[in-house]
Amino acid sequence: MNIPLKVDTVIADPNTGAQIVILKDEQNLELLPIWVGMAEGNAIRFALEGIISPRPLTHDLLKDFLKHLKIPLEKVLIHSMSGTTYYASLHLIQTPASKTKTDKQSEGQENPPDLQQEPEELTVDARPSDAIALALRMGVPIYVTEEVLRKKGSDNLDTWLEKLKPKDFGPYDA
Amino acid sequence: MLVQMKVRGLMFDPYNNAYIVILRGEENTDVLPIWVGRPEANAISLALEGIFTPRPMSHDLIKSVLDTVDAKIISVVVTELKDNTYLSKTHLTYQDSEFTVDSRPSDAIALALRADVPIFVAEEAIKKPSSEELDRWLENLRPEDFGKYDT
Repeated sequence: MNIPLKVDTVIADPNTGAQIVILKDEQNLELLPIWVGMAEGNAIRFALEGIISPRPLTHDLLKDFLKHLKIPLEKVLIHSMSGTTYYASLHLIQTPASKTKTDKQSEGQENPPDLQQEPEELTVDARPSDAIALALRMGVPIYVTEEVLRKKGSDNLDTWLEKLKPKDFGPYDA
Repeated sequence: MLVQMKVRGLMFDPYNNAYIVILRGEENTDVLPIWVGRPEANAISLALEGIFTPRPMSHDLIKSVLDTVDAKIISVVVTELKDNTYLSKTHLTYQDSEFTVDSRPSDAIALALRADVPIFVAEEAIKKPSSEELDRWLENLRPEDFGKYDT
């Protein structure tokens, strides 16, 4: 079963300079921290705070591509982890192109009138950071598999949390 | 008119704490320096050096989304310089239609290198007089400031 998660906050890891995206489930019972790079952390933070850049940033561009091509993003899913790396996927809905008139003519026959082109779900492998940055921009849900929540490295997290000091928290942590 | 250009160099600008992508025409006559941010410079650098990362970086993801839906980037065009910012467009084909999407030159170039499509620059973008800032920066350049891509 997949569990919907919300992005709670993005905080900076003082030890590595990396940023950590904190995801929580709706009941605030489950917490999933994901370490991301500086650029990806900023991309997520911009979306969280609703900051509009005068020029399209990289994830805005991906969103613009999908909008122009009329390919909806259904959801993103954090589906597995290996070592300390999480794997995510984008779930796109593609409606196959209907045959154009010239195609029909060149084939010399009409398509059966009732042949419906069914939309197809396509998945694309992504890092969670890119998937989250895109999901926030497109207003689609972020899911995690139960398996990932069970496997998440809680030991590492506990050690890290113990070392945390109040001043390590950025201004985003209210 | 459009001039085809290639990425000839990528270097650090210590004055602005940013990176500069150097585009140069085939005949080596026109040079266009474009200031880009650090993550975008990194994205361009990975493509230039053909470095394969274990997980897809952001521009790899864009490329793989386009590949998955069978959309193709056909070219990128730096169209104009407006308020010290270069504007560019990415041209795509998808399901027998052509699409033009506004993008920053840095993203467009990072994608062009991954999709192996030409980079064009509109003449009016090249002919704009370079800013005083650029002149000052160029005067201060030393050979060692150039990266290894600048031959």
